[in-house]
Amino acid sequence: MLTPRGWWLLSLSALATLIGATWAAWWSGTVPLLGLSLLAWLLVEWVVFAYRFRASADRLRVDRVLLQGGRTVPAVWAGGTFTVRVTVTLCGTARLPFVHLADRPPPDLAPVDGSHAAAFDLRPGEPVVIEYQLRAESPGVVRFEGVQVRVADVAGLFYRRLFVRQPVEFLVLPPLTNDQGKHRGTKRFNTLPPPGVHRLRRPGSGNELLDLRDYQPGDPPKMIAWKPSAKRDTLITKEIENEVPVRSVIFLDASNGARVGPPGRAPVVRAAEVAAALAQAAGANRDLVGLTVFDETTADVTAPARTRTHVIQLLRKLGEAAARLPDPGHTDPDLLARYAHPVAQQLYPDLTAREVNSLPFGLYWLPIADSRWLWLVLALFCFPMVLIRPEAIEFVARAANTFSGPDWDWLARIVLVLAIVLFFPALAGLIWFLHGVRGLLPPRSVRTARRKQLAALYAALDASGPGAVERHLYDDESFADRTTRFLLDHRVRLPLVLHDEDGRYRFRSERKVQVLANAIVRSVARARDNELYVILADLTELADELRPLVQAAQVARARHHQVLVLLPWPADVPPPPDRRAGKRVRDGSMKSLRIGNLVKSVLVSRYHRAYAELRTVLAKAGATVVRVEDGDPVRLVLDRLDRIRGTRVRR
Amino acid sequence: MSTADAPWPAAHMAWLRDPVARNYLFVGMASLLVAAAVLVFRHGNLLAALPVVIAVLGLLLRSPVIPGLYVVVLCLAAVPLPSWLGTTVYSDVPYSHFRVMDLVLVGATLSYLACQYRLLSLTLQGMPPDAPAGQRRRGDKPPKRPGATVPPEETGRMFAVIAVCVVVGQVVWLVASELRLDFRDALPLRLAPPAASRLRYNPAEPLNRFLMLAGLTAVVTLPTALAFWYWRLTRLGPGEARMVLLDTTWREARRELNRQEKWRAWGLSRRRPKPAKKPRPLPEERPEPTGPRRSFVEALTLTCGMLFVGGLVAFVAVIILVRFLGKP
Repeated sequence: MLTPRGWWLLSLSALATLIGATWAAWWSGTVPLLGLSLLAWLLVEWVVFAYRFRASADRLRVDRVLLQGGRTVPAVWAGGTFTVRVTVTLCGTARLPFVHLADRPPPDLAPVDGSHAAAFDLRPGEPVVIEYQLRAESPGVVRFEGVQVRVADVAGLFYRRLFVRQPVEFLVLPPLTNDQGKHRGTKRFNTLPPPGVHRLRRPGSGNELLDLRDYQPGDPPKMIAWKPSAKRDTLITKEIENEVPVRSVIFLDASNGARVGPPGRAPVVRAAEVAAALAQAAGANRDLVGLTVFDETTADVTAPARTRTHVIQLLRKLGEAAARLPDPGHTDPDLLARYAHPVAQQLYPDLTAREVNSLPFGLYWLPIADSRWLWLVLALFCFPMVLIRPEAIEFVARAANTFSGPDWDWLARIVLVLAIVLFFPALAGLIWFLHGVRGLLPPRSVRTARRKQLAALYAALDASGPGAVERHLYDDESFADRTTRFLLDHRVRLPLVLHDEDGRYRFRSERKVQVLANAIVRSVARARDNELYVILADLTELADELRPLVQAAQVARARHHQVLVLLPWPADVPPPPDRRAGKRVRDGSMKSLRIGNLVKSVLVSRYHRAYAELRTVLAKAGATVVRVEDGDPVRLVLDRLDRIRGTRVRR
Repeated sequence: MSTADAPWPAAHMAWLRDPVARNYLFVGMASLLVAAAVLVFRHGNLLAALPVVIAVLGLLLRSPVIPGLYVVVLCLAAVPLPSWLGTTVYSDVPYSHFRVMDLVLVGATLSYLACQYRLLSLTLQGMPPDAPAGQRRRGDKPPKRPGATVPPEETGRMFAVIAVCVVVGQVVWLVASELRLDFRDALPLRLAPPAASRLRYNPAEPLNRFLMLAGLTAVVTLPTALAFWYWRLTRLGPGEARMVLLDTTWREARRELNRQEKWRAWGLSRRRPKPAKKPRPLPEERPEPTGPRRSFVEALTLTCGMLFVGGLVAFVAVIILVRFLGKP
């Protein structure tokens, strides 16, 4: 509670009082008077501060709203700025004259304007406001953990910190696209078909006249065209155009591998942006759009529809998918604890305080029984048992005789004999002590303290009891899993190790291919007419494991559906060379041959090869593979939808 | 107008623009003036005002070290010079209660310290940095107390608190110096005025004062701390209460749980497949030595030398063992 300033003043006051009352008071009473008055002042300040803190500090109410376009919104749009307004109201009874309130902004977003922290004089019932602006560049989720409250007295002698936890997440929806720029530009029909359906030049039950033909028995009388019949003196029947819906299903890859990338530029984010534009453009064309978000284990299916609510729902799902952080798959508990402990201390100061999350001395001691040194210690302890042999006794006697002086009395000789006999047990004790005391020394003690506090915090959050504390202390795997989950829950990005010791890519996510194939087959089974399947997936690293996907694409093609694969291209990989361009243009950076450039060029060429192989494999199955960055993928998809209609026309 | 363009005060004195900071500066200066007057009057020497000079510098420079230094120097200066030289046999303790000079000096000192610390809080640092030293980001400054939030009646309250503290200090000193502990009596406290001269000095007086002060501190501090502790217990949140129970249970059952979890973790680690050992690289795959290759003669000389030195050490060790342990 005391600040360094307060500790200094308290120490000096206590020293002045002590010396003044015991030594200097023989000559002068001023020194102890000064010390006592200072102590009294400190006591009064402490009582006032403690009363104010206890009466008010934990009775803070925090209200948070997000404003965009001048009004309160439940979710914000990507690509624009929004305002965060935090209102803090003191519901206690005492005034807090010096409070520093700091809202914890999401780590991925940089403040545009305003400050998220300020100092106030908080009075009961008088709210204070913190307002600042953030900009969300990409879809996802913004998570606000709460408000950090730091309370001090006016002289800066006492200080307390707490955190008003109010975790809340707001979706950042993909930006609304300009419909005019995305949907089909050429208007082919003068009459607008009903929403969700398109004209097909086959007889059906639409509204537009397709053709006239001779009457056949069984035709409904209402379809008879009376005027042409009167002209030709024979019955003529009207044929009406058919009307069919064109549906498309978007498959979005949200697997662990697709989440790897810089904040806001991961493949899943780019894919979500494209999918959002597709959904809105198709919706503007009155087409039905479905969405399947898949990862390594599951596929979340949203059936095709075309309503405005459905589009918003799709945007929400896309925002949630883009918000997923990659699981780094770290197994080193110390590395994870180094990242998690500051977060825990900042967000859970009440649960990591030593008063409630204790660190007993025995926690640090390293028991010898956990080590193989135990056998050595036991052997050394038992070593005096060799004295049952007469040769050993003789050896000890000779050694004592050698090291003792001629004028030694019997007591000194007995002590010498005991020293020789107990030398090995003493050595065992020394080993035991040195082994145990190592746990008390840094950095091991720091690691132990950090891990115990985190383990207790996890056990308290999960309500899993004291057994979980010990489990997290000794089971590295369990601790690493829980710590990773803790960090991902609080949206803390961990450093990623992309390749393992053997140089293999760690985020291949092979199982997602099977999940994707199953999802495609499921969609084919539920399809009504010719549909377009748009796969937004990062498949480049999996070119040699695409057999299930190829089979699923063949099934779709056999049912006259179209399959289009859009690959989100990594931001730091240059586009593949154009084969039609012929001669390769040499990059200037290749001139300086350094190990970093060399590794990068090897990785890039390997990625290009994998992309070419992927195109070949999927082209054989009838699927088209396009990079997202190649032209306008939304227009491509819309053209493909038109082609589906055209196919029907020709049939 | 930016701070750099301001004609007066200069950029490094920009804190003087805050009226509240100016107020505390002037009040602190006035307090120091009073303290200086008392010290000069008491000692009859201008040098006695040295602590005040230090404190004035502290106020102007806003140094957090100066208040402590001022207290130390003032304590040294409070003892009269003959006392340092050991030439006096008289003590002023019997007459030190409610002396006007002491009241004014202590009051002025407290007033200066309060002003100095509030000034530091307003202009330099109001509370300690939040992050540990190694984790602070560049540009992170500790928060300062905004002057606009200071109510006008704060200075008056400060003087009231200081007056109370000065009186409390006098009363405590009166109790500590005039009462004597004697546990042989039914009532262990009795009046015993302190000695005014060395002839009547009781060597138990310092110990008596120390015990009295320790007892008074315990009597005042412990119940207050207990009251706040109990208040805190009554206001524990659900999370904190759960953590207290969890921690208590964990400490009680730690030994048993520890054993079970260790065995479990060991079992898991044994069941986990061990990574395959990497094959030993072929001779042509082994990395080349980084240093220059030695010639055959150099290698032969080095090997023979090492063998010779090792053999010599072993020979000496054997001789020593035989010499000392081989005696009949």
